[in-house]
Amino acid sequence: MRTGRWQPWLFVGPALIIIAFFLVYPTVMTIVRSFFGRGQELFGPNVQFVGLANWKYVFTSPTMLLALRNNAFWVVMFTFFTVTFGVLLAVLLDRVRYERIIKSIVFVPAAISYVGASIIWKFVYAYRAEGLPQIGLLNAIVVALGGKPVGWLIERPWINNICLIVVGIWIWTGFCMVIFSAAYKNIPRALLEAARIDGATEWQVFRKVTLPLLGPTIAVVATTMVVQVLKVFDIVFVMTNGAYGTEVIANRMYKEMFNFFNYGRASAIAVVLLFLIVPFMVSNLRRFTQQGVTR
Amino acid sequence: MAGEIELKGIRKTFGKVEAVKDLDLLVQEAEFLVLLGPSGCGKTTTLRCIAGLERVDRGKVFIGGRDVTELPPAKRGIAMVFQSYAVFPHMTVEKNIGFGLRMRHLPKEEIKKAVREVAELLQIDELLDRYPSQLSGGQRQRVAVARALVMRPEVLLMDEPLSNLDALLRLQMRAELKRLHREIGTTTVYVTHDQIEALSLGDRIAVMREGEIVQLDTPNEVYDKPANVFVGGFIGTPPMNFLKAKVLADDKDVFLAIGDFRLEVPDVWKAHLREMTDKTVILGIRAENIEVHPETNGGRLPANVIVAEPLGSQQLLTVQVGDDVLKVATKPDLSVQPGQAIGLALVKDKIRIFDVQTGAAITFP
Repeated sequence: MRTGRWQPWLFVGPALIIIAFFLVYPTVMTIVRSFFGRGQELFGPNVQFVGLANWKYVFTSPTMLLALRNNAFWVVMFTFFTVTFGVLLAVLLDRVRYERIIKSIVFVPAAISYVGASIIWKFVYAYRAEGLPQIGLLNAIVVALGGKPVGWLIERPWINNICLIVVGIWIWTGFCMVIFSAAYKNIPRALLEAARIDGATEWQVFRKVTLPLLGPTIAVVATTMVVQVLKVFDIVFVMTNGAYGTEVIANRMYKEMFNFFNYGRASAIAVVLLFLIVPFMVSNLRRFTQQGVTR
Repeated sequence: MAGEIELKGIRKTFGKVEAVKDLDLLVQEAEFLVLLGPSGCGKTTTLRCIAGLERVDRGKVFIGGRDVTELPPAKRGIAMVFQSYAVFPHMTVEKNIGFGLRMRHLPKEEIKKAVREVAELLQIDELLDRYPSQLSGGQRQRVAVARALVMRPEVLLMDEPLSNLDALLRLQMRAELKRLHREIGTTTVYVTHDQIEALSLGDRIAVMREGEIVQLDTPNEVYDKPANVFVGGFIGTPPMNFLKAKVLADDKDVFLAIGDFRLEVPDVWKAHLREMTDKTVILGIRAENIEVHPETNGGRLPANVIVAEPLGSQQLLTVQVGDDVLKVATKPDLSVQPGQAIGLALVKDKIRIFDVQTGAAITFP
């Protein structure tokens, strides 16, 4: 008997079937549904084919353009600062005696849910009109220093968006730091010492040796962060629900789906999000499979 | 003067561990000094104190007559080769070698020229465009040495540079390092736990143990006249043989008694040894300084063969003498069987005696 041909399929078959049922089928149906109109049902007498109307909405409506812009802003700011702070903390804390305690503290936010973190920060950002007692930490400080209270979550277009992004950075910096710390400790000390003996300043050691050697890790963490932030939802949903110009793609998708029952638009938005994320996932997967080769 | 190193009472502790204990050392200009000792003896720590990679707790470090105790590594005029090579994996060989010169902001042309010169010296000029991952261990080691030499240091420090190489390559690089030192003449401090490497490379060897230098001498002196039982047992393959012996004296003569056997001693010892009559000492003798005779009579130390190992150029016997086990090197063609009784003759001038309590060599002027 020639068992060779079908045997592999027998083993991967169940996995393929599960993937097809739970991943491929919903994806295809979502794409198909994005060409149909309102309604909660997948298909039915009330659901009409609308061609590219949903797609036109996604790429031309002011609401969606704002969401896309905000998402881009999130991607740039969030990724840049989580990675930068992560690297700096990992490298600098390595020289601190109480490294482990400090690292644990920095890592704690990673264990807090988005909703919990958002509520904590809502208190920090709380705003009352001038003259009233300020219960928000930030405004209390501002007022104590003689300033006017700021509507942190209201001031558009940048202050409120930045304030939201800060929450995300606060949650994820610890995670980045832990990964970078592990990678940094993997760099042989002799390499850094050799550079110092050869006359490199501490900054040059960091620039010319540490950073290039952390390169592959930075790439993996950065792409992971991009994927995380493209899907940003909870923070915005809890803190502003997209008001005052803070809308993001995933929050818009939620609204179209569950507030306005517009399955078609929600599907189109979901597909956009999917296609934005896929390239980063692919590059990450590539890197994971290559990792053994690069060292 | 330029490359002279002087350590004055340096001490380095890690927590409760005293890695280096009030160590004094003077390395002459252009000398090749080997720091030799078992792992944990403080030899690497001593080297790192010279390099400035460790701060000394106490004492002073002078390089070229200059007090460098408080200076960072880069300002000490040193270069270092690490056990792990420490070549930068993300730079080509050329960039690796030129790294230090770039940090000094030398003109590009000058760097290129210096790199090429030193690469030729180490025969890696064909590899300048390669990355370390494309090199063999031996080639990486050459890059590491080149990177150190290109800086034209007053002092070259090497931390077990050959221990990651395979045996054959190690032999080759050892000769290479010796040639380089002869050509360049840079003061070199070389750390190793391999006594063969130490004997073959060093102008002088500093044997270290528990943070202290127990003997500082030329390789031949260290080998022939170990300062104590530890040095004798650490250096040489096989290590020095040790047996218990008792000083006996009668009206006419002084000798050492091993069991019932009476061993003659060099004439110059006799007057001094007489004062130690009835004391027990440790007698040390190297395997090659024992002669084997098939017959046991005629004033020879009786012994029993336990194992005979042919090693090509010689034959190594393990023999039993009383309660002690000795290693004896003989000609490869001597025919002996395990269990055979033989007679040993100890070369009189090569005997060394040590104090039973302290293990220190007992020497007579």
